Amino acid sequence: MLYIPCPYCGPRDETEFAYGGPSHVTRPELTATDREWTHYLYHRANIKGPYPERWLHSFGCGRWFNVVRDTTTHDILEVYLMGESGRPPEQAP
Amino acid sequence: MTAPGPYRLQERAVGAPVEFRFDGRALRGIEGDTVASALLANGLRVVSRSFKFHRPRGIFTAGVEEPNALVQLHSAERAVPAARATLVPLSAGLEVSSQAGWPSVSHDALRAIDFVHGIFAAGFYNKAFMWPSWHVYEPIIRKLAGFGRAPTGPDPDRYDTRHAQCDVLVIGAGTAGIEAARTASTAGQRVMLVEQDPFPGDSLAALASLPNLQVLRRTTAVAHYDHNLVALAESVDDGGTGSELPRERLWLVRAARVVLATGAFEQPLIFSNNDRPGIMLAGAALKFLRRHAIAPGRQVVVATNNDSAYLVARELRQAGVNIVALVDSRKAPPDSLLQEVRSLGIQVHAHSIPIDTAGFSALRRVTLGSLGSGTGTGVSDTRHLACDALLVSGGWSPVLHLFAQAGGKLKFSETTRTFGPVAALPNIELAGSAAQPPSENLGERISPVGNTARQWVDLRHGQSQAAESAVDAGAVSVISSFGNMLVSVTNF
Repeated sequence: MLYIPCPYCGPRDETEFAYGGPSHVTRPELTATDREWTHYLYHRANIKGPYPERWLHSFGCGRWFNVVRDTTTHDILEVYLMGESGRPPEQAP
Repeated sequence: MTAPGPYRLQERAVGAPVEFRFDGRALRGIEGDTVASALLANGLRVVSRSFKFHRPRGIFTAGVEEPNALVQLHSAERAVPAARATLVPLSAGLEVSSQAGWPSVSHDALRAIDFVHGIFAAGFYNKAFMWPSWHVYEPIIRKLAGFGRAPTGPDPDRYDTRHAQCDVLVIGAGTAGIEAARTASTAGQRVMLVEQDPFPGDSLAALASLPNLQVLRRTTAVAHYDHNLVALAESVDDGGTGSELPRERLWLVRAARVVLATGAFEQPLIFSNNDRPGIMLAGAALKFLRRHAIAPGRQVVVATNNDSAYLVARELRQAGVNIVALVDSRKAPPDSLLQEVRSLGIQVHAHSIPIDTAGFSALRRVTLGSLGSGTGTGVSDTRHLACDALLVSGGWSPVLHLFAQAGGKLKFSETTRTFGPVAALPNIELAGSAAQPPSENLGERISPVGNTARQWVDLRHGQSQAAESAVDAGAVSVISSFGNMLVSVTNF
């Protein structure tokens, strides 16, 4: 079970959180093609290594934030607020 | 007052008698006994049956690694199947029963299977019992295997769950664990110390005065999850006394740092018929002697490939137990050790190994072989020794189950002949013999070859080593933690 540092409440057990999928997936314009929509809805990189994802502290403050988690070790490398972009990939640990 | 049990060393035994029942028979142990030590004190050698061939099996270890002594506790809706007799403290009126054998565990008609074992080769079930349907045979085969009986009704006892956090969680209250807990506690950290043995040493009591330290006894760390979340199973109250306490408690502990002071398991030696009741790990015999004042037998042979069994032979001799011989596979055991045991009148056979044993339901005789001058495993000059106990020591292997669960990788080392960690994990520390098993001048693990009787490498799962493949093997290295972990057999 992960131990997730909520930027508003501090570290809490994973059971208090809900997972929100990968971060920084941009919704296309309404004029986008079917192909673009398909890509937005279904195509994910499934990265081995540091992976930015959204978490909701549903049984706590009820707020969303971003977490960079290493998918091989489950180490949490970075936590940042919604609307922020986190460290650029080349500076990530 | 005399302590009950023919194998109890009277001048060492302390504690009031405790009555219990084994397979309906009234027996007496003493306070501070485990079920295993009480059975040994009463001379009950056969406590279970191997699940395929129904070979008689006795108590082999003195701890959680016990492969044989799985017993049924209590009855009806409070029944507990497959309890390790080595971990259950004896309590007044405890009902213990064996799980296999018909009509009884000591006289088992199903042993007949063993005498025709040639037709029951590995994988035999799969081929033979498919027509018309496996389900026709399954209930019978399951019953034969002897896996205990389920409770007959809803469990009347209470169970509890607790969540906790600490700075340091120390698993194992041996010397290294106690030292780690003391250091962390003195430095002002919140410490939890966990020990599964029902009767830990006196040094644990000395920790009671330390601040910030919580000690959990009879508690097993059962799982190590992500980010140092460790699940602990605590036996609180054995129940049946009308107490308000829960029977067991599950702890979920989030620790900033985990110290694994889980120690090392002694490894068995592999030779023909090495599973007879009366054969036991040397370290287990030492524990039964020191804690419970028990003699493993009347005539004891000790077989080893390292230094640690010399201490066992010495202490047993000093306690008045007859040591028939000490057998060492090494060519030149250290002179100081040889002198010490010889001064006590113990005969040492260096460069020899046990190659076979005899006895129907308990050990009666061991056959030794001299390894001769070559470097191979050819055995010459065999001799027979009458004995009723054989203590074996094949070196020590660190207990790294939790380390592996936490994601740690293990690698076999040819120098220590054990699995060890490849690299450290963050916030997890190995301490004591879990980090570095005692080397004890380990010699090669040499098994007899060119001989047809079965050699058991995993007592729990009934794995035997085929004699023919062992002929080519040269040195045979075997690591087995008796059913808790994988069995890894190299070189054959």
